[in-house]
Amino acid sequence: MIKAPAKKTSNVYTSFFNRAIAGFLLFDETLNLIDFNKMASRMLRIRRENALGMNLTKFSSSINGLDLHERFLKVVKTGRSMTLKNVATDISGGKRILNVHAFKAETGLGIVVVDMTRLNNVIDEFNLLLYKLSHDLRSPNSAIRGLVNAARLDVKEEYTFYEYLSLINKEAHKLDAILKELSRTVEIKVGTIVINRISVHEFAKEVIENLSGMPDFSNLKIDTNILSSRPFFCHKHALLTIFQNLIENAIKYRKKNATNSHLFITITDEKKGLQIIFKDNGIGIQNDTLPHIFKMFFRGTNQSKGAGLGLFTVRNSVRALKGKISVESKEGVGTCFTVYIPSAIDSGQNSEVSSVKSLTK
Amino acid sequence: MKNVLLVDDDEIFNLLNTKSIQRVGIPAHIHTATNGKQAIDLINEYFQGTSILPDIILLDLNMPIMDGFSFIEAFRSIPLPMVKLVKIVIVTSSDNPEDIVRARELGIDKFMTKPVTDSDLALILSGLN
Repeated sequence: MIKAPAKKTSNVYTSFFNRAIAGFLLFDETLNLIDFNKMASRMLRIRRENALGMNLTKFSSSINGLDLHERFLKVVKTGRSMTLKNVATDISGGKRILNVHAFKAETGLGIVVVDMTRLNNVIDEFNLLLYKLSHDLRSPNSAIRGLVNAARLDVKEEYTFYEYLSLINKEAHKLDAILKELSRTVEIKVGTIVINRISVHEFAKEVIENLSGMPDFSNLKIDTNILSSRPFFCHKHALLTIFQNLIENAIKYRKKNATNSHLFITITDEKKGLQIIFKDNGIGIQNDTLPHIFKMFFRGTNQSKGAGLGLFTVRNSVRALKGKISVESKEGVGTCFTVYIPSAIDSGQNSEVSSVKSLTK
Repeated sequence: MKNVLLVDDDEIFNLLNTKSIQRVGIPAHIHTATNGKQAIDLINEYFQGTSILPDIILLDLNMPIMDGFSFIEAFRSIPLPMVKLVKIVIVTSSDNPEDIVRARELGIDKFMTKPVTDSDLALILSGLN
């Protein structure tokens, strides 16, 4: 019979045990629960007052789907440890991926449970990124190969030759645009968050100047209304990515034949951060498309010529800055993105995409 | 004269395939659409108005608004017996095995990777009844 860890060993031990981000459970040789930490309590939804002494069979359903009891007894009997990946269902019905490591602890059984759900989601996202990119990068490359081949077969006069060269150049630009979107996405995902002191007036001016070389930039009137007077602290590169993508979208999704396309950017000081509103009078977003616009690789219209990473990257940048973003839109009227970024000096709140709703006239 | 419908969101491929069909010298009326929904609208408005359907559809898979697989399902639900006679060829940059399996499940047996060559197109078009 093994005993629960003695109290005297222990302030340090208890602190370590309870603060660990893995769940620890200790069972005796008949698999009755002797001790467990706070994370195990949260993961398996068990309480100390009614779980101690309980046999593994009573609550293993929350981590099983397999005949774990027999396998755990075998660990106790043979002394050979075992690791298994398990799928559990959480309270809200979502899927959780748990990594369960069982080992012999004196005469009983020790179990370490690590929640791999977030890591698993990141891996799934990464795999999707690789898969879709391999497709999206191949497409302009296939077009260039096709154009070169067609030029070889068709060109009989100089005019046709230049026509093909111009199309090849267009595809090369498309390839470049995809790579640019990708690098912005990856920079925010893997980049180190650095806190910069930003003068909001200068920052807005700099962003707009940087984009002035973009095709069709001159077809959109950009008005800025900067009501912020104090310096702002945040990771400048992530903020730049948000501005660049949202301004580029206003250019790309303006009404094609309109002569009054405009984007209003309003920046105001909030209590602990900055609110930035990007409001345009472009083509707007369909109601059924609106809930999907922040998804990776989503392209809502034929005017979406990129890889579909723009708003996904905006969402990631907002998350990286612990901010919030919401969107209101009405097809044919325009779109309004509201971004809140807390000052990096005292931001501790969680980030989220807070709401997606239709704009009423 | 064959009716050919080219469906690709990248208009370059519609242009390349048009040029290729012209080069191989098989007489054809060529129609283009840039996504599945536009193709369905075109079929409803034009082809049904003329009481004919395309003989062949060269179809991309990855398109905004309505992708290639959704197009196939929508197209097959058009209540015309001739729908079954229309040959659909998937033309895509992806050679993902899952896409090939899904296409087969939908009864599509011809799957080509971009860019399509003149000889591939000549073979497909000359094989039409």
